[in-house]
Amino acid sequence: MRLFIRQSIVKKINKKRLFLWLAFIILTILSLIIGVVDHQQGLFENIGIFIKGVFDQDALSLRILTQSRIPRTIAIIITAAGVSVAGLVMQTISRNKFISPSTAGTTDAAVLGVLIGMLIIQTQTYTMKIVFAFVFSLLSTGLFMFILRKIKFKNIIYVPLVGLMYGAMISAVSTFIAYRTNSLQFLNTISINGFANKAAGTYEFLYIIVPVFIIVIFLATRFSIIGMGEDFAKNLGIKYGHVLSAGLIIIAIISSLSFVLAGALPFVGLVVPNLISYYYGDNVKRTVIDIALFGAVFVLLNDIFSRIVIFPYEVTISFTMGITGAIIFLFMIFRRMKYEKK
Amino acid sequence: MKKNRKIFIIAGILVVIAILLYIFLWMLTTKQPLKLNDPVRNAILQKNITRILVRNSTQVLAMVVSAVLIATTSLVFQTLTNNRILTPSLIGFDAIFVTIQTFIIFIFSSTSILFYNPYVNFITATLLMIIITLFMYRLILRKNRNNIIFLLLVGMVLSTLARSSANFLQTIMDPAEFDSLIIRTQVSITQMNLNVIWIATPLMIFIIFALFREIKNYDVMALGESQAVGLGVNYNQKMNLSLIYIAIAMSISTALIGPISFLGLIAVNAARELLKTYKHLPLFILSSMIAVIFLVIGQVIVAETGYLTSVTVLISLIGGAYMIYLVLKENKI
Repeated sequence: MRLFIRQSIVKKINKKRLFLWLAFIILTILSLIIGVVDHQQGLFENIGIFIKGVFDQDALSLRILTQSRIPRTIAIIITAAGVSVAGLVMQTISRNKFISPSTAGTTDAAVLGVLIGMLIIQTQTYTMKIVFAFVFSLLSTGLFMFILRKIKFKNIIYVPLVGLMYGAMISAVSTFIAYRTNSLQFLNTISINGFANKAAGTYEFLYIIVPVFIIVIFLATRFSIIGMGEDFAKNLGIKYGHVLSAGLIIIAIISSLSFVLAGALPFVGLVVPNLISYYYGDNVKRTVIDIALFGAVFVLLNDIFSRIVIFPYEVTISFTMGITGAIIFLFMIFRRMKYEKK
Repeated sequence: MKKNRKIFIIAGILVVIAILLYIFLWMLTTKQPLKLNDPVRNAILQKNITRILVRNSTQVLAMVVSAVLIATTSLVFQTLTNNRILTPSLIGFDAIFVTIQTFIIFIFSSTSILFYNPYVNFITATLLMIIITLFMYRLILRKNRNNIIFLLLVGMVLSTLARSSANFLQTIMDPAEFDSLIIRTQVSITQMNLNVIWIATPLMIFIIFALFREIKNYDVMALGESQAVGLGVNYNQKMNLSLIYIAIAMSISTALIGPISFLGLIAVNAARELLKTYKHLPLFILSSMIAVIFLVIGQVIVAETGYLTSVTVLISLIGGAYMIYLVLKENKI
């Protein structure tokens, strides 16, 4: 009997997984074909022209495909998967479902890093931005984890509130520095980015996320264990400090890369791991791939929407993301409240 | 008690000094000599001096009333949440304010009376903010009594939602409309919305008195819900009423002087540290005084140093550092 139930659960999960893969493939194809070829035509005419062009080996369509559409789609998939997994790692380590890089000051620290890098070195290459964003987000996440360990009153909602105030303080420092150095305008442009300008030559740094992602898969169980506390982890023979630092470095790498290259993606790191854990449970090792996949589906959906809403122009994905993500997050909060009441 | 009296006297003197400095300091530090022998120019000069004095006094009035309001609502909010770090400004009223203005201009265009007339605009925006906040309270507090921390989280998510949709609308908006929107929404301590001060101030003073009248109840409510109910305080009714006052207060002060996130946190906690008491009456008075001192002296310093930074940033920096200190000093929460 027990075995039977287990098998049926496995079957159910496999079905869901299949559905996820299907959605992923369909959205990837959509993301490849939607876009502007001739700006005087409508959306469907453009898709038609593009598909016909690709099959006819038309030079323009092929160039659009290889130079713009494929890089953009790859950038979306890698970034979305990375940010979702970074959120998962952060939530597992801190054992709090409401924490993510955007609610713990990591993104604000990346902004500060890019600003300071620009002021010191005076150039704006991607390498320099990434290095500074990485150093600052690593320091900031480390400090936040340290503060977390000192908090006595570990209410699940209180902790992200502290995180948001912490982030507000970091962005006050950025505003202060920018105000003094007359670079407020630069500060405002740092977090506005998106996938619209991702073409061959501007997204390749994102490939660094791929090996990091594989490392997460290998370390998944350890992250779950250190989430249970220092003493518990030591009892099981795991080097708490090492795994924790590995987790922090992973979070900082993914956050800084995705932030510098693709801009802020609000709520992805928060919503995606939570939604997946409703359906698959909290086994990090088993859910990490689903989370990456679902993150990609979610961001692809938002990106396609921002591309077609005012076609042939597009809106920045962080706006669309802020709206859809916030609505899903509110839904999650109320759902949780309902269960707590019962 | 004697020691406390000393603290109050010093704080009072500082408040007076701060206000006087704000109104008169420019006379001493201005680079243009104020005395001229030419009688024609003298008349113009005197008229201008009066005008500047009136403007500075109006500004300082707005700052004092807002500071008192921010301090008192933060104190009440901390009593209701039973937590020393949370303040109502976390809900993100500034985002809601900007969104409301964006929606008004998007739906009715900038030539509509709802936008063009500052009074009508202020009243509409404030009313809408109050309605949204009350709706939020009803939604959350009805289902889940007393879970104010939950309310804060929902408020913050809602403000992100508001900010994103405002940005979304601003992107697809007519550029000329966007310009008039920016002028209206960039309210801050150096760019106060002084048009509306004469309707905002009486309302704010009314709320301060309304909160002041409930002080004894807050003393009881600080003991916790069950104790307060046992002692004969209608906890839920008082809490809902206080939350409505807080919503109105935050809406008005945001529309008048813009958001100042950490002022309430600094003022209330500094008052607690200085007085070491749980009684609301002395805390109420001292935290208001501290808020006024911080805001007005901060603004004087910023103005006299040639606007090296803005006072909002200054308060956020001090407040943020103070918050981390409070969190780290575990037993203080």
